[in-house]
Amino acid sequence: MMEAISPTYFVFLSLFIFCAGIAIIIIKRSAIFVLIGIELMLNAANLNLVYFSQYDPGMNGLMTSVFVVVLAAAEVAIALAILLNIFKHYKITDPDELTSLKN
Amino acid sequence: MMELSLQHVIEELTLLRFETALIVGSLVLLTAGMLSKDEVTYKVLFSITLLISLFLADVRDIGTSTSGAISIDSLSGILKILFAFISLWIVFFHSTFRRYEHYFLLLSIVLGSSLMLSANHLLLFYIAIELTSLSSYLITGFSFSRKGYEAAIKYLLFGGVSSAIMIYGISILYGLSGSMLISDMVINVQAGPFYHVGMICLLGGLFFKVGLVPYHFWVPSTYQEAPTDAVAILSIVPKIAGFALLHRVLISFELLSDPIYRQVIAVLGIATVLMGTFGALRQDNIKRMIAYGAIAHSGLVLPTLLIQGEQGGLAFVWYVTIYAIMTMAIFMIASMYEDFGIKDVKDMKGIGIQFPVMGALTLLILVAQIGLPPTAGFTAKFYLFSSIWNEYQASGATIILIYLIVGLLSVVLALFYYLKIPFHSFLGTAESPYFGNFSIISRSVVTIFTIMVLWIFLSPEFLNKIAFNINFIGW
Amino acid sequence: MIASILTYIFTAITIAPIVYILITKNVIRAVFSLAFSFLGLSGLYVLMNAEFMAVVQLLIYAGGIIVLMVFGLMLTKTTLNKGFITQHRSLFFGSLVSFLLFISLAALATRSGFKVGFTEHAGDPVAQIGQLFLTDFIIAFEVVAFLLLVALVGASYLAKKSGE
Repeated sequence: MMEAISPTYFVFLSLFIFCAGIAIIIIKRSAIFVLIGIELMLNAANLNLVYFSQYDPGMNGLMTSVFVVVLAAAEVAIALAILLNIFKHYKITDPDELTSLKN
Repeated sequence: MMELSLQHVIEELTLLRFETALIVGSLVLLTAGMLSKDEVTYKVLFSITLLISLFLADVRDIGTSTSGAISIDSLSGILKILFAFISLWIVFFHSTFRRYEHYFLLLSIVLGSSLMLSANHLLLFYIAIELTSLSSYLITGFSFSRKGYEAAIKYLLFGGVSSAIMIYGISILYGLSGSMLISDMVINVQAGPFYHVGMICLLGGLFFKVGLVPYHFWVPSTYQEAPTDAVAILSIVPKIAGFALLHRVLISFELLSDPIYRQVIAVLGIATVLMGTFGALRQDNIKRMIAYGAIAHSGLVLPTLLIQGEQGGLAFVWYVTIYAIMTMAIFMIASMYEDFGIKDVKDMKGIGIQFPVMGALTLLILVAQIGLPPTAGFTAKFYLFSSIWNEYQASGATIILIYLIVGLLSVVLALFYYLKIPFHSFLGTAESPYFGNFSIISRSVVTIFTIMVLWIFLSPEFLNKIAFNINFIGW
Repeated sequence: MIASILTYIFTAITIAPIVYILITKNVIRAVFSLAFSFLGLSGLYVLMNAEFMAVVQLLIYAGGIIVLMVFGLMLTKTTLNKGFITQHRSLFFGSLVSFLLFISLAALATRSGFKVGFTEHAGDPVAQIGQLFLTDFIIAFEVVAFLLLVALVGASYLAKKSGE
């Protein structure tokens, strides 16, 4: 169904999502924004995996992308559990303001 | 079809019986934790689980499953035995009440690390690394202090970014090769510039796990704030597994024959040694200092991966085994001082005079960390440096020589920071005498470790025999 | 032809929210636009014959992770509006780095060949996925189940202890 569009198109799309994720992580100061950036990077990987999985009889990429989604959910849940505790103690969620562990 | 695949499942589970035992044991621990409120129960179940898996691990049992996803070699057998053996000592840590969740997470770190050793499929790779990482993030927060949470979230954000980069690298490699099995990938991959992009991303995730520059930022704050027994596991088990995995990747993708990769890895290793050593010089917090020391140790293990053949393997097994023993000992000592409320080097004034035996044990373990005789630390460093020297003679690469010089320099500088502790504890004068005493169990365990460190120095045949066993895997 | 047009539409649905996330300083708006971006991606997955993945994307990402993030925000930010605004830092440096990264990686990507020879998948893909989960991927499946248990136990312990 997708022969009309070249693989480079999807590689570019996933590269764009990946680089946008990195930009968000660098630019934004909130921990939630960093999580958003991580999710975008994971989705970039998923897009690659699902796209190339079409050409793999073993469907490795598709299976992997399902697992990646599950792991991402677990990671976000853990991050929020920790963030809730941090908010209780600091009343902030900006990673830059957490500076009590500097040298 | 169905029966055939059932056979495959049974075959894979047989290969993974060490991990299966760990899973079953930790589930039992979880169930028991809901019924019993007694920490001794958790500790007993924790050690029974590890003992059973230790019993099931077998160095000679090597093989690859039919699907190719699981591949066990004798190196992973040896390292699994080391993991189970080292983790056993956790139960002797004297600490405040720990709930069963704590021991459950410790088991899952060991499980994830041993899976890392067996994975030959990039998905399993990723899952194993994530299992280890997620448990590590959680357990860092288990100190339930402000700083503990801060260290945990920083660790998580760093780790999340690096694992996202890693899975992106995997997806690129998959696109180029159409396969996820490492062995198939190498054959099918269409080499080109993008292949190296994918490879660098994949290596980056592994560098994070072992704490190499530029992925070392999480190490000091995590080691400083996480519960001490958890740090002892964290600094040993996932790190060694990460190095074994790194070696597997470097070998299977034939990156070591590429001089650029060798150069880059050597430069990163040198930077790691320098970063760890100079970072440690500035520290006063005991655990933070050990953390920087651990970074330097990572940098020192790295060159063994560049050395192909028997010598590299021998140096690697020697170094990681000794590293595991002395790191376990030093964290146990750190936790004993913590019971006294001592966290900084400056708080230790005169404690060695009041407790001379403890002071002497601390001194010996620190001498091992530095790498001086009469301890096994010296033997490990000796094997390491002689193998690097031989590698330099064989290849003539300047970078290897620089590596050797930097490594020796780090040993000299290690004298300055590690010996701060005995300096203060023996030569300082206490403002007031310390009350209380060290727990007798911890003291005897530290004594056992010290004897081990001395005994291995005096009769290294025992370890040599083990290290010799891995020769046939072709390091 | 229709497939190509749909692809471009879904690409636009994916990219536009991401650009908005890059610009905005409001966390809650960013989270909701992330949901839209995931919608676009799941549309792309349908076009790639990966219906299962599309549903998973919608259920877990748009339905689970987004809700989790919103929960986290609502629980931590007490003052509405003001609390959701964050500041930018190193704006120039960050955008420059990622832009250069994008350009250079894209240049490298055009010079590489990908493994794309069309393979016909026989049979029902969802049934195939189910079979793969319990045969070739059984170890990964079991380990992920254990991993979810670890995350559940650990996260609930952390949250419970802080509530005490």
